[in-house]
Amino acid sequence: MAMEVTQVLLSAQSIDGNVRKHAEDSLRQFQEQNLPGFLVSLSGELASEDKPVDSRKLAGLILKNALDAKDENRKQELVQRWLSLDPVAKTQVKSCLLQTLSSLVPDARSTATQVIAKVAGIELPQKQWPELIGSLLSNIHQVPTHVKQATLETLGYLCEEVSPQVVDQDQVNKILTAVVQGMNASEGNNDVRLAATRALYNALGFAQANFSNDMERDYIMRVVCETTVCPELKIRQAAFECLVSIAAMYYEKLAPYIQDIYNITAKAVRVDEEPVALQAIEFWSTICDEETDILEEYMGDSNGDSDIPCFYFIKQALPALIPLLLETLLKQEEDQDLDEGAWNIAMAGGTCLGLVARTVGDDIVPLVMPFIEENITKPDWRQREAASYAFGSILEGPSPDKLAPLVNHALPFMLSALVKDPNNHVKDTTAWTLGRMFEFLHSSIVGTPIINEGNCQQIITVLLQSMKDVPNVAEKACGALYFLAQGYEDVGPTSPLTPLFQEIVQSLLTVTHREDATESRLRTAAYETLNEVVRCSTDETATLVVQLVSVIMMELHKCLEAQNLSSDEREKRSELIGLLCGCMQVIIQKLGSLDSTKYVLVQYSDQIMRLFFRVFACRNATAHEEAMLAIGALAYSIGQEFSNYMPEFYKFLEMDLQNFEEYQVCAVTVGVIGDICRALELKILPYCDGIMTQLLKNLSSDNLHRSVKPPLFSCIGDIALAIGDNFNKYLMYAMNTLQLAAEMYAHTSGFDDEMTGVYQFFEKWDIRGIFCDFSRV
Amino acid sequence: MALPNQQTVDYPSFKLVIVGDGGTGKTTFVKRHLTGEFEKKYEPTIGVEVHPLDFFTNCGKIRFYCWDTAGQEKFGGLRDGYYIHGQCAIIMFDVTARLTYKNVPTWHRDLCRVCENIPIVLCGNKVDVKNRQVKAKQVTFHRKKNLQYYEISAKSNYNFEKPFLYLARKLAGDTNLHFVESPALAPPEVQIDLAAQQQHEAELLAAASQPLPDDDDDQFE
Repeated sequence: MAMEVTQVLLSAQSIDGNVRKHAEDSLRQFQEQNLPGFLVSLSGELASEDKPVDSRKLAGLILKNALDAKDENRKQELVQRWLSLDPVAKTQVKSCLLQTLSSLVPDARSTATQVIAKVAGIELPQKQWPELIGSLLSNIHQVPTHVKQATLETLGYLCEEVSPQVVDQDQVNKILTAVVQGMNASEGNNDVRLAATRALYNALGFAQANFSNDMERDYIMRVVCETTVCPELKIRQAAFECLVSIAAMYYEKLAPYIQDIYNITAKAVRVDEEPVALQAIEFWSTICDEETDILEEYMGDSNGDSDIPCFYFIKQALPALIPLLLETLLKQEEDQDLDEGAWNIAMAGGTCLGLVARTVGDDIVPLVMPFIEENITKPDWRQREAASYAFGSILEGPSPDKLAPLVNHALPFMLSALVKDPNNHVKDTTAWTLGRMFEFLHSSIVGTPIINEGNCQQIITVLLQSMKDVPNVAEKACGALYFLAQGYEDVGPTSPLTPLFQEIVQSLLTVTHREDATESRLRTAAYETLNEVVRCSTDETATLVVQLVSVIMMELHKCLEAQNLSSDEREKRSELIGLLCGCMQVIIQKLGSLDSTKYVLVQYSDQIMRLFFRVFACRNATAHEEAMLAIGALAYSIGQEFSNYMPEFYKFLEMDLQNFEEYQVCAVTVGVIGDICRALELKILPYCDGIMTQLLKNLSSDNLHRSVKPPLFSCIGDIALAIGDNFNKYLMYAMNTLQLAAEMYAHTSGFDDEMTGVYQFFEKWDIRGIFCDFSRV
Repeated sequence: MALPNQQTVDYPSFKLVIVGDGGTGKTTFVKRHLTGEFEKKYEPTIGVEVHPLDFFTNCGKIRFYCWDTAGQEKFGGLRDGYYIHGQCAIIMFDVTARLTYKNVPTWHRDLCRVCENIPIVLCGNKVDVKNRQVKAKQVTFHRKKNLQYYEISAKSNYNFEKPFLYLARKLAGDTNLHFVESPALAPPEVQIDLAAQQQHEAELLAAASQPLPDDDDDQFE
């Protein structure tokens, strides 16, 4: 029954697309025409010691993929095919798989382990292949270490695929015993120990009963902890990954071991290599995540009860843990500030420190402040940067009352460092920390304001100065200014920023024009900050915002006029257009919210709409989306006046409603139609036939992303509200669609986002009105 | 450094596997590097598409063979069969689609079981879309597996070279490696080599299309 497949498997890995496709077609044909022969051939290839490793490996993977899929329906289909297969073929495949565990070729062995686990996942729940586990366990006592290694790997994958309920607890115990013994220092072979440690990682979910038994859990934990000091790096890392997983899965069982774990992790963080140290830090980050979740659940539950009690491991470990984490902050990499995604021991330590602050709140402050005070003025840049980073990391969690006096004390120094420190990395972190101060401690609800009449001017001056620094520092300074402005959002009729508004806006616009503004996402940060400054401004600066309309329109005009652009320049232009349209949206919303400036929008609306129509012609999705949102804001602001633009705008509405591929643009367009309905009310009527036709088409389409469906219902509700009795002509179609949606809900388990739109529709359309009108139809 | 079954170039080349759910922007990300164009229309990748991407570094030229795999299972072809001999990888998810982030652990598991111990970058794409559902703070998977994480956007230029730079540094074992501008004009000898290579390939194709000699031909003589 077996067929020669070596060459086609090798061709399937060719870099040449034609060769590859031809080979794939052959394989698919073979599978469709003769599934038993296909599977037997693949397993034979995998098992053959004289075949090339590449074809063996691919044979195994294809075999595995013939048994498994991510899609649940597809998976069940494949499972049924396997179960229905000729028993002789199945026996032959399984025999080849077990035989391959003895192969001297590591890649063949590791591939076989995956396939065996998949077959076990299918057969064991059916009470088939009953001898498998016994056979694997007997392999453990085989002399060749490579077989032992492969067997342990298989057991780990098997534990992942199979529920413990499917296997006798006696066999579960034997599997775990074999795995844990394989991890033991008495096992001399590193490959076996590594395979066993990874097997335990995969088997942790399988070991629920064993983790509930004190003696068995003690044994497992002792071996895991001992494995963390194995001489081999990979084994140590794997052992720590087990500890991290145990922290997440068995938090409530950890109390007896937490002291030993602290000792182990502290040593690893201080002296081990980075991959191991990172996982040691991750253990404590995971404990923070667990405790934060428990405490939040405790707060949220009206009964003040949680399924799992909080053991306050972080609070207990605090005096020892904090110095450990602070040490890591001093292990920065060079140029780390230029790589905002950097992940290394200093970043991991800072992340964990931030999580600890969120978990324990005020208690962290007296343990961290001495480090900050000691290091902030040191000659070594690493110490200054670490101090600043530590400060920024503990600003979320502790109470404002606790932090505000410290921030007030530190603020003058931080501001000075921001513009005078000789090291860019220090300035980068200082700007970030200032941003965090303003994000968490500067708002109208904080009792002791950190920004007051005395220092506001100085802070602004320093931030504007810092925005002239290198791009990554300037970007952080923009972020700090963003949060500073946001903190004044609810300040009332008078804002301390009012006298400084013009200078701030001018400085931000200057940043957007820097030659290097596209680096470190600086231009985006500057525009987002400008938007926030405008959004949070008070009526006092309304006349300045009016002037800003002309400035931004001119920028947009120049942008649209640019010619002869390279493809890269075209992309940058589209990005800038998107930013400018976003800025226009914020300005329109600000001016539209004030009676004293609403007239300005009516005056400018012709120019604004002409610019937006030109943006649509650029065919860039993000810019298109931003322009659409801005138009929605304009329609909302000028109300009935917007009807003047509907004849031309309708073309774009219709086009965007049909744009299923860029479904985000489609969703935004649906929202904008709602805005326009509220603005125009009855004047929307001439366009309703076209709009409703398309909305109903969209609702019934399978090609449109499902996230767009709820807004469609909401939009239909808006139309009904706008045109009142005139909606009767669409009522039958709308009701049919709603009925279909409701029926779908009846077949959906649990609440679905899609139904939100249906409820919104009913809320907007008086129910009695519906049935009254419906009876007239 | 040349791999079996791979085309050979006279500078270092690596097989880079790109995985992640369908619609997360994998193909757009690769093509943007190839052509500089952002493609709006979503066409699912069928099986795999292999694109060579060259970068110029301070240590010389390097090439990534980008194996851009299908994210939708129904178009998956050989699925993880394409990972064999992968030397580095990118796992991509969409920050506006929470499900694509939830599936990252599965992609990582499948990848690591075929390619052991390779450098991997986790990429959160589409960060310029406003309604992101996966907040930056919620991205923690890279912590569990010591992965590098970048937020990127294939639409704008945000961070789009960072994943390749990180992988290049790891593969070269040189943390100081950095990208430099490509030469405006290729050196003459490279041009000549390319022309010769194209001619050679054309000759091979021509030879392959010729009918094989057949004994029956003798009858006509």
